[in-house]
Amino acid sequence: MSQSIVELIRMHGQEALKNVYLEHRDEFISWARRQMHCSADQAKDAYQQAIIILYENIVNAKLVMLQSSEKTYLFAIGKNKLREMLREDVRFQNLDSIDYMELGAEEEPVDPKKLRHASECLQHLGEPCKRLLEEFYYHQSTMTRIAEKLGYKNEDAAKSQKYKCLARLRKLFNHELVMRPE
Amino acid sequence: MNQEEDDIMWADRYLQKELDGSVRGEIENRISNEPAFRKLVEDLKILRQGIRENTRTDLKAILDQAETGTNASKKVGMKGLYWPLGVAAVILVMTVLYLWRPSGGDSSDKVLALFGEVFEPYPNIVMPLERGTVSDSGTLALAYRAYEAGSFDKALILFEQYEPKEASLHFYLGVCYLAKGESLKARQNFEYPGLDHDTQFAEQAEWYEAISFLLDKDKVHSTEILERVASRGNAYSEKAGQLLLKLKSFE
Repeated sequence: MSQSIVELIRMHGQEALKNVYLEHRDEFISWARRQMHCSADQAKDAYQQAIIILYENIVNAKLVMLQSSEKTYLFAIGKNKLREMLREDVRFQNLDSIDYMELGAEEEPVDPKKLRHASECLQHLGEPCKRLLEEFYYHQSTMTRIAEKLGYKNEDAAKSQKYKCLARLRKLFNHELVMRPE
Repeated sequence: MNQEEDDIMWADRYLQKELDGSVRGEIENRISNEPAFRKLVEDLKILRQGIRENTRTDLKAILDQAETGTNASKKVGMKGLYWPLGVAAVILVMTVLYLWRPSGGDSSDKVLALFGEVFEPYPNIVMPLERGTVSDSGTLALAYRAYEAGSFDKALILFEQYEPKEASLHFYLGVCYLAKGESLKARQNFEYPGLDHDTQFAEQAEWYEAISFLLDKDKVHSTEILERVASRGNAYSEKAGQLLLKLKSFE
């Protein structure tokens, strides 16, 4: 891979994800099975989590430049994830010290069932609302950028559409909760 | 912007930490004193996280797709059995790539954006859900309940299962497909011969068929039907006229 992972993801977003994933996948799984005595599936899951953490930290601009090599960084996150997953053998009490933002670290804890339900409602919302909301809340794109990408007249038109989409999403969310009381 | 959207805007800006000083104080007062506003803020917190969670699931799906090309999955040795999944995977990846292609916001994207502005699922007027009554558990009733709840996947399955399919059912099937972004299947239902003569849903079907072409960024066909709708002098004519103006402004 001639470009750095950070550059690739910043420039191509999700399109780059598959290549980034495959770049170190096999090596990580072999290493993890050998060093951590885990199954290939466990290693793969940990590696996938590491990739998503890396991706999220890059698109949210929490990671601008890697201090270590890409491989070292990815392996360190993957190793920490594996240790959490293996639920700690006494040998693995201390996680590697590496600076990365955990998924959802800044979010308040909410009922997982409600969270799953909200996620399902987003699927029902359809396009272009789904993409607009994901661009804003996940990728943290500016409204100007969203207007350009999705073809709205200007930032204000995109904002107005965002609030309409949120209103529709909320309606779905509450409607479904009435239909499927816990 | 209506009152609900206005409240959503303030609640969202509050959660985004965009408000300072007295404005933030006012919103905090509303949260303390207005239960409905407090509920809105709580809902928004969950929805915002749900959106992020959903995107993570999409990313995981992309990584799972990447797995299909690795040596590990080749060892499974069930070649042939899962080929339809492979085809689906290719379609999914192509869709993701298409949606995420760099875009300068050309006029065809504006046409697509218009769909989001005008599309609203048509209300369930066939079997409206009456709260507090004994519920009907028949397939059709369940389908309309799912539709009313916005569960279009579920509604689709149930509508498709139900026989015989009357014109009204084809209309609601069409709306379900449209909500899922499947314009071709939507049109196949809106063009159901019986709907032409159905006095209750003929006008609606024509309108939804017109906007289904926006999903395909097909301005020509959409305009053609909208001109027809605009000239009919029915409940959709004014909306069709406004939409035509917007479409023409993209030229």
